[in-house]
Amino acid sequence: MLGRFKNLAPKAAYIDICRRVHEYIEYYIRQALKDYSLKEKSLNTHAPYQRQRSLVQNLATQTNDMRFIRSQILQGMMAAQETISVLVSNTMFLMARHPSEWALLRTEVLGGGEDLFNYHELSTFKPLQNILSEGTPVYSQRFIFTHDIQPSGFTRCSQC
Amino acid sequence: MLGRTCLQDTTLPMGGGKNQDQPIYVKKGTFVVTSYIAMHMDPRVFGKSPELFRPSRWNEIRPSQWEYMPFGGGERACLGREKVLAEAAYVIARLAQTFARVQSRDDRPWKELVRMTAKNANGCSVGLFSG
Repeated sequence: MLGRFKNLAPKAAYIDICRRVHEYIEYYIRQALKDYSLKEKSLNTHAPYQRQRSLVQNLATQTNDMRFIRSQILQGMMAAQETISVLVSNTMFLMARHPSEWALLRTEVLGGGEDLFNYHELSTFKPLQNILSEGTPVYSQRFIFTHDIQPSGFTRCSQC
Repeated sequence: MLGRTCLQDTTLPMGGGKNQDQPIYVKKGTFVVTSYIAMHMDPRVFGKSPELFRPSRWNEIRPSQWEYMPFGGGERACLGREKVLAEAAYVIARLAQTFARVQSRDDRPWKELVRMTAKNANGCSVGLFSG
């Protein structure tokens, strides 16, 4: 963002944070790489390992490029970090300006009771999912391009 | 917006010319930026007045994966879609359960602040009333 002046900005704290984040992730990457190489030797096939769902484990089956795996993981974590709060904030921004929609939602939520509060019910709870569907394209549409750290492959969704 | 580099000479079926109904030629190597806002404002897909906040329109419309794509699409689509929608729904449903009214405490329009993520530059200032 500072362009060619970025070397003048203080960054000791930034570098220290990057180092700690990288160390944290690399611990799990090393573990995944080790697990994979052990499994590969004993079974000589990828199939059983690929059933694992974790991103780091799957990446470890494809490459042993530490930096590449780390960038992919970091990208996923960064997206997961703030996006939900942004979506909640934007939705509440809209709700505050559409009181009738809030009243409708409240009626439905109260009608649903405590049974509503689980993953499946909430994911298919139409009155609220409609609000989220309607809100996402209105406000959170600003994509950014971070040429220096964005690894290839992931789509930056509007929540990122 | 979403940026992509064109990997081979391509012709997009429409969008060119005065009436935007002519094909567009995209040469290999071109950096193309698509605007999702423009795409999500198409009345043919989202019904009348797509710029208005009207959640009930989702009872009538069913856009395809390439017409509505706040989470991208295809193999490169957002990994966190289901997680985000469920967690945001949880928080908002709890708020709706607890508070009868939400009042805006900020008259300014939405303004973006683009960092690693994009968010509301003015934050979200609201009053919540239990009764």
